[in-house]
Formats: sequence, C-alpha cells, structure tokens
Amino acid sequence: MKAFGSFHPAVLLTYFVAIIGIFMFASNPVMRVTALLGGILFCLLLQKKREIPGNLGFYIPLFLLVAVTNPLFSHAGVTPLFFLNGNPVTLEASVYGVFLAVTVIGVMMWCKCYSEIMTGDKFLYLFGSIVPKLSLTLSMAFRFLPLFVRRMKTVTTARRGLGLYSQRGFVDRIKGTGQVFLSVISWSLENAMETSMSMRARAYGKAKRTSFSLFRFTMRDGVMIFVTLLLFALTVTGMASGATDFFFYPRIGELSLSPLAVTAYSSFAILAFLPFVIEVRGALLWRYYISRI
Amino acid sequence: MRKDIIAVFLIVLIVAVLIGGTDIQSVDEYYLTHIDDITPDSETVTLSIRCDTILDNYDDLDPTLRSEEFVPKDGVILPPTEYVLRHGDTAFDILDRATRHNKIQMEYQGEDRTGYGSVYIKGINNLYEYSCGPLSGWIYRVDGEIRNIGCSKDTLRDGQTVEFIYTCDLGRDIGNSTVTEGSDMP
Amino acid sequence: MSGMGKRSFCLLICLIIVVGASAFPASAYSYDDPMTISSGIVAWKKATLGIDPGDLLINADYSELAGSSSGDWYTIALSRLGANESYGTYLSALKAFVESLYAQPDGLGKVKATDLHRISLAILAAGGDPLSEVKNISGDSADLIADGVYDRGRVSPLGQQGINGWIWGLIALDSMRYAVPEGAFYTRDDIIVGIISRQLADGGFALGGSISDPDITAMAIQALAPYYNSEKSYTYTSDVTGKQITATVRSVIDTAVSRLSELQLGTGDFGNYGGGSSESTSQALIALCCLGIDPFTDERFIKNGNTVFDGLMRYRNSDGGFAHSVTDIDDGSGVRAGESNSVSGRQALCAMAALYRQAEGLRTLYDFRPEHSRAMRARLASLEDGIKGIGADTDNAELEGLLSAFYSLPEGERSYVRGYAALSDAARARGIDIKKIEDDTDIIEDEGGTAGGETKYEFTDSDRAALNALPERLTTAHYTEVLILLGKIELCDDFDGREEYLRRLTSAKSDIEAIQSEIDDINDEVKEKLYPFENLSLKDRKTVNSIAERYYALSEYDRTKVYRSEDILKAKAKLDGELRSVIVGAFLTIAAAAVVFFLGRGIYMRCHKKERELTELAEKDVEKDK
Repeated sequence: MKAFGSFHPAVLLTYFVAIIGIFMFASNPVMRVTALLGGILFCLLLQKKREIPGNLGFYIPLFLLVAVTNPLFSHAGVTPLFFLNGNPVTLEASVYGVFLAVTVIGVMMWCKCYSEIMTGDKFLYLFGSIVPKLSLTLSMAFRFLPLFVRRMKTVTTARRGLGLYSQRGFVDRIKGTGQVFLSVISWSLENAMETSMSMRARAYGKAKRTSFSLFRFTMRDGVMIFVTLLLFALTVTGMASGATDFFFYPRIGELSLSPLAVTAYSSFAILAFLPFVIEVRGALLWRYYISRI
Repeated sequence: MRKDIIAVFLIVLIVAVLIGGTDIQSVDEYYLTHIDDITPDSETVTLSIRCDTILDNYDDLDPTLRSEEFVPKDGVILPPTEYVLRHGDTAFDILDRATRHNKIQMEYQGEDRTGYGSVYIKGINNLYEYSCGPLSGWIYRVDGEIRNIGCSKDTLRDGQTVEFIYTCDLGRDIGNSTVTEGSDMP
Repeated sequence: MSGMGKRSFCLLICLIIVVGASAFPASAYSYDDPMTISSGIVAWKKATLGIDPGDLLINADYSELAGSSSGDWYTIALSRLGANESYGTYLSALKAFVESLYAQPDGLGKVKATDLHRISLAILAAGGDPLSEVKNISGDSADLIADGVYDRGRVSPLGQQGINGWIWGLIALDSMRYAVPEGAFYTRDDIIVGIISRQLADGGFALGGSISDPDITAMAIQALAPYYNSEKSYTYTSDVTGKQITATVRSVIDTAVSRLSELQLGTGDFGNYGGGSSESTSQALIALCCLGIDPFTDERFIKNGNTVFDGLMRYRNSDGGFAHSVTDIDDGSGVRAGESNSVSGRQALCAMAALYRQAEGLRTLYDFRPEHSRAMRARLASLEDGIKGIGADTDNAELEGLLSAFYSLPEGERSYVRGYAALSDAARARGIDIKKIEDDTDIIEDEGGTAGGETKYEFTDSDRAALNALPERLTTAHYTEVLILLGKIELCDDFDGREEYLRRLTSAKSDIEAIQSEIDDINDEVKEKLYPFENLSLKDRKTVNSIAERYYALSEYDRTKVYRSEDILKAKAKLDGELRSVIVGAFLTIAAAAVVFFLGRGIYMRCHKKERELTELAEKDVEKDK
C-alpha cells in the first residue's frame, strides 16, 4: 500500500530533505499551513485506522497548548487583545503562537512520515557505500534501543514468572528495575562482543564487500526526482527573492500576493501534497487491479 | 504515555499562570486603571505643595488654623512626588489629581467665574487666600520660576517640576517681586 | 480787487481751519462718547461668548456666572449705563447662588468679604434688595450688608484680605447710604478709619509695601468720596507710622488725589512697574468721577495734553474690547499686549458708566439711590453757583447763607455739592463757626421722591412655551431657566392656570435641586471613598458599585458635573478586574486539580492493571470452584 515508499531511496531522501528544509526556513504562514495539511493527509494514509483517534487526542491538545503558551509569555506586538497582570496579550503573539503550533505539529508529522517511509535498510543502502563504518554504527545504534527495550521486557517478564515482581512500594520497584537494568546492560555488552567476534570470524573488513539491494533507479524515479527538484527550485527562488517573507512582530505583515510569491506557494503546495496524491492514486490503482481479478 | 506529557505540560502552564496572577483586564480597563502608573517611557512631572512661609509669619495666621493638621511642622503638605503627565495636562490638573489621591483638601474657583479664563486656587489643606495676612495666598512655580499665568492654562511638559507654595507677601517671601498685585476690583 | 480779496480771505480761513485742526486735536471730542465705547465693549463680550449681536448679553446662559466677578461687574456696569438687559434673569440666578453660599456648612466664613460686597452691588444693579432679597438657610431674609460689612467681623475681620475689604465694605455700605445699627460689630467710622489709617507716607494707598499703587489709591478715593464734604475729623493711629493722626476725610482725599496725579504717566494713563495698564486707568477715571472732578478739564490730570480718558483709549482695540497693556510686560502672566480681555473690559465698562453718569448729572457709579428730584437738582445747582461766586469781596453773611443752604441738604446729598471745600476754607478763614451753622440749620428733606411702584409682570406666550418645552427628565442645565420662570410667575397676578404652572415650576425646582444635591453627594463620596486607589479592595466593591450606579443614573448632562468622573469608572474597573481575577483563579485551580486527578488515576490504573486482572481472574476461579 505504500506507493510513495516504493520510490528509490535517493528520491525519497531528496524529497524529505526538500520539504523539511523549506518547512524549516520558510517563515510564511501559507507555506507552513500547506505543509502541515500535506503532512497530516500523508500521515493519515500511512497510519493504521485504529491509531487515528489516539493520535488526534494527542496532537490537538498539543497544538492548543503550544498556541496558548506563546502569547502568555511573549508580550511583543502592538495590538493588545487584553491584559494579563498588566502585561498585554497581543494579537501578534497569539497569531504567532498558532503559527508556532502549526510548525511544531507539522515537523512532527513529517518526521513521522519520514520514519515510516525511510526505513533503516533504505538509509543503510544510501549511505552504506559512502561511509560504511558510520552507517554500520548508526544502523547498529538504531537497532540497539528497541532491542534494549525488548530485552528489558523479556527480563522483567522472566522475573515475574519467578515471582520476583514487587508492585508495592516505590523503593522496591526502583530496586527491581535497577537489577533488570544492570542485567540487560551486561547482556547487551556481552552481545556486542559476540557480534564483533562473529563479524571478525567472517572476515569483516578484510576486503571490499558487495551488497545486495532491492532498489533500482527507474524512469519513474527519474521523473519524480526531476519534479521534486524543479518544485524545490521554484519555491526556493520565491523565498530567496524575499517575496514570501512574512513578519509577525511588531505588527502582522501583509501577505505578499506577487506572481513570484504565488508561484512559490503553489509549487510548494504541489510538493507538499505530492505524496498524498501518489498514495491515493496507488490505492485507487490497487482497487482497480483487485476488481479486475 | 504521550498524553501524560501533555497533561503535565498543561498543569505546569496553569500553575505558572496561577503564580503569575490571573488579573485579566480588557484593553480599555487596563488603560483606565493604569493611566497614572509610572513606566520608564511615561512622561512625568514632579509636584510639591509647601506652606513653610507661614512658619515665619505664624502670628498673622488665622487662629483657627494654628494646628499641625493645617500647617505641618516642616511646612510640607506634599513632598515632591512624581505624577504621570497625561496629554495636555495643566498644572491645575496635576494639582487636582494629587490632592484627590492624597486626600488633601483643595478649593478652587472655576474657569468661567474668574474672568481670567483660568481657575483660581482659593485654598489647599484649609489654608485659604488671606489666611495669613492680606498678602497671602497660593502661587506656583514651574522649574523654580513663579508663574503668573493661570494654573489651568499652563500646559506642562515632560520632566517639569511644579511647586504650589503658600506666600504671605505676594511672592516676595519666595524671592520674587513681579507678581501682579491682586489690586483689581473684587 | 474786492473779489480777489474776498477769495484770499476765504482761503486764509480754510488754512486756519486746516492748520488748527491738525495742530490742536481736540482730544475730548476726537473720540467716541462713553455710550459708543460701552456698546463696543458689549459687542466684543458678546462675540467672545458667542452671543448674537442682536441678543441681550445678560441672558439665561450668562446668568450662570451670577455671583462671580466675571459675571457681576458687567451686570453692574450695564445697569448703571441704563442698558436694557434681562436683569430679572440675573437676579434670580444671583439669589440662588447666594442662598447656596449661605447653605454651606461653615456659612459665609470661607466666602471673601469683597465677594459679598460685589454681590450686594450686583443685587442692587439687577433691581433687588441686598437686605431682603435672599433667604438664609433657616428661610429668613438674609441681610448681605450686615453679613458682608458691619457684622462681618463676627466671622472674620473685614481687613482679613487687606485694605480691599475695608474699601469695598464702605462702597457697599454707601451704595444705598445704609445706616449701621446700634450694636453692630463695626461702626461706619471704624470702616472709614480702616481705610484712612492705611494711607502711606506719600499720600497714596497700596495692598502692601510702602509704595502707593494707583488701583488701590483710586479705589480708596472712590470709597471715601461720599465723605469729602464732611467736616468730621477722625483721630486714629496710622497703620504705617504708628503715630496718632487727626484728619478729616477731605484732607486724606486731597493728599491721595495729588498722589494719584503724580502717578499719572505722560500718556495720560496709570500703571504699575513703569508700564501703564487699562485697569489702573479705569479705576482712576472712576475715582475722579466719584469726586465730581471733570477728567477732561482738571489740570492735575492732564499730562502733556493727555487726559485720563485719552490714556484709557490707548488700550481700546478695534474689536471694541480693552487690553491689559499696550507694551509687553514680561510678568509671566502670558497675557499678550494688545489682546482684549475680560478683566480689562469690565473695568473699562465701569469707567464708561461713571463717565456717562457724570455727564448726565446722575448719581455716582456706586450710589444706587433713586436719582435726584428736579427740586433737589435746582438746590444743588444754586448752591454751586453761589460757591463759584465766592471771592475776596464776599461778605460773611453771604457765606453763612451758603453754609446754611448746604446744611439744609439731607446729609446723604451733601457729597454732591461740588466746590464745598472752597466754601469751607473761605468760612474758616473768616472765623465762621461752621459747626454752629450745621447745628442750627434744619434739614429740608427732598420732597420729590422718584420711587416707582412695584413692578408687575405679564406671563407671556413665550414664557408659557418655554415652560412647556421643559423636558420630562430635567437636568441641572435647566435650573436657571426654571428659576427665571418661577421668578416671573411669582410677580404675576393670578391668571388661569397660574396655580398649575406654579406647582409645576416649584416641583421642577425641587427636582433639580435634588439632582444637584445628588451630584454634590456623589462628588463628596468620590473624594471621600475612592482615594487612594491602591487601597481599594474587594471590600469596597459595594461602595464603588453604588457610586457608579448613582453616577449612571444621572442624565448625560449631569454626569459632566461630576468631577473626575473617570475615577469612578477607574475604581469600578479595578474592582471588577479583581473580582474577575479571583473567579478565573478559582476556575483554573479547579481545572488544574481535575487534570492532576485524571493524570494520577490514569497512571494508577496502568500500574495496577495486571494486579486487577489477576484479582478478577482469581474471583472467576473462586466462582468456578463453587
């Protein structure tokens, strides 16, 4: 079902670098909001349906909290809405708070999408040949944390099975957790040594290694990377020319609607909604093919 | 777990607001109630009210006023105090505000009733004109200079010093002799 | 030749006329007469007040100034000029004002004596009687002359404000030649001595210091003028030197007049500090008129060919008004040279009234008694003629005859005999016992009184319309109008509906008075309860809210009469904010508590999930076992 994920990792990386890069540097409300919407839609498709309500229950309060916090502590701006303890709560700070919330949630959405799409093997594929040591270390590190948690759970369960659970008393629990932690640490260290010995035994690092991968750069990938780079270039041109500059303080600026700015907005919008469109198209195609069977 | 973080965040936020205070005011209310607050960029003037000349002429003073209630020992009715200068404020506006806020008695004659187009300060702290001899009354100085222009026509500027001083000798006892004598028809 | 001669003769005459006209400007006649000048001042005053030139100056709006020096003096001067103005209107307002003075908690104590003197003159000018016009707080007639002049000492000394108090006290007392009753705080002589004992060494008078001031000197002369022809000598201690002095008022006035003459500037005017001022000049002109001196001809008051009148005209502006000064005097007063102002205008108007009355042979400016009868005028004229004829060859019998003619005049009229001093001097020189003649002569009263009957008023249609136009909801703005209508209706004979009108007006009056007292009350409450703001707390909420409610209950116009009303709003906003703060605080605390509770419960539930499940399992097992 991951139509977008089936692109070549290089295309995907280029895409994510482009979108997150623009997202970070373009302080323009139109672009941030389109990016947020694109991210949300993309995320919706990537997620399991039953996870959605829980996620909404997390992201909506987070959004509100971030939006409310800024005007409470930042009193810049020239249009006071009301006064809190003699400090103005300004329109500018409130709007900027919403903007900040959009940014935070947007970044979270895209990072979520990134981690769903750019799986470890893709990352390793891309960087394995360029910086082998680093990518190996990274991939091991990526693996280590979930592994560690899993082992913690294993050990705890084993202890429970032995009747060594102590749910009463805080100190007892700390003690128990400490013991589990220590044992898992020694287990992991032992494991790491075993891994290295095993690798050495298989003559790792003696000669250049070949690697196998499923990824192949096709015509489709070429078109995709071209489109991404084109849209990226168009947007960056608009940004570099200053057409998309926008200010919140001291007074909310006017949104530029010059041709250059509109071009930048629309190209960025296409870029942001691209994965969603591709996913939807993929899903429709899939349905179509199924129906033909 | 993630929701717990939000809950903790929310609690921290509410506690921060509670500690900071929950005084919510509309913009109009704020400006109404804080108009006289002195902030680094507000324009101010300094006002003082004195009657030390009476101490030198205590024998001329109306016997009913011979009390520390009306004539303080040091002759200072209001020590130099900084007041916010609102736009277009005159010396009289500042005096009126200061006497009201400090509950100092003050009586004046309205602008239309004096013929000079300015209010006339008849008495402050129950010390009236002629309370201490026929040449006594209230005069005022701005930046040390006695002003003969009516105090409600004297628009002040930022940083000026206003003193309302009781004179027992037409201002001569304050080191000035150009006060026009009150020799007009009553 | 003869034709030629005639022609050159005509030419010569023409030349003489032309040259004469330019060489000797007839100063007195190159100016307008007092009436024209007065109309100019009134026109200027109307313009500054925004009154239509065709309307009266003293109207209902103007009457709000009743009891103030800016209001009273114009009324006095215009009345003395015989101008047609709405004096009744002014009197009603003045009455209400004085009654409010009497109603003050400490009575007239805080009111300046000279204010009472001026108000007495204004009441007379407006056609009222200062002895009975106003009611005091207990509803009895108040005697302003007693309270303001001869019994003023019971409240505070007449000289509390200096020589001014004595001078204006005497002017008020002599406005109708009021008698001072037995047992009064001051006798008439006390008041006269109050003035003359303050004569400076140079002959003039001043408010303070040792240099005479033209204004005060002139005003002292105005006050003493009625006693110029009195032979009474006073023995008093000089306030200046501390020495015992015996002098008649005449000798005091004579030295004062010569001092005044010295004070006159080369341009004819008077002033302080080297510069002239129109006020000083106006006062000097009034003083001369009070003494019966002709300012146009008396050599003592013509300097470089400039009379006092010429001096005053220097200050006259093209707008009709008068300026304080012609040169810029940097006295910090901010009054620009040459700008017409109200104080200068009212004093010049009084001077014009004095001049006009002198020219018309009317009583002096501050003598409000009915005018002389024709018989009295004849007696005065013949006496003056006789005095003019006095010379070295006049025999004693003739002098005695003139003296007995003088002393047959009622005492109050003797001041109108010009030149009596010459008669007195001549008689004294011959050794004639003036005192004996005075005692021996019977006073022949003036039989031709000019007192008119009581004025009646007709309630006109416009009055009716004005009454009906009064709105349902009255404000203090209507007070003067209601008072005026009430004053009119009280003068009216009974007519259809008079009772109803009277009832409506009386209730309107009491309604407005209730509003006024409510306003006063709010003002007091505000002053008393709202300051300092920092000390206001939620405890004061009730008070502040009630003040604010009362403030909002007033009509929009009346709200403007509440001083610093923004402070009411400010206090209310402050306390409302504090209450809101408490409510919001409570609400937030509850919210925080709720969040903490749910958070704690959530964590607890998660931690004890296993345990609970186990317990449930165990319970199921127990059930199964059964």
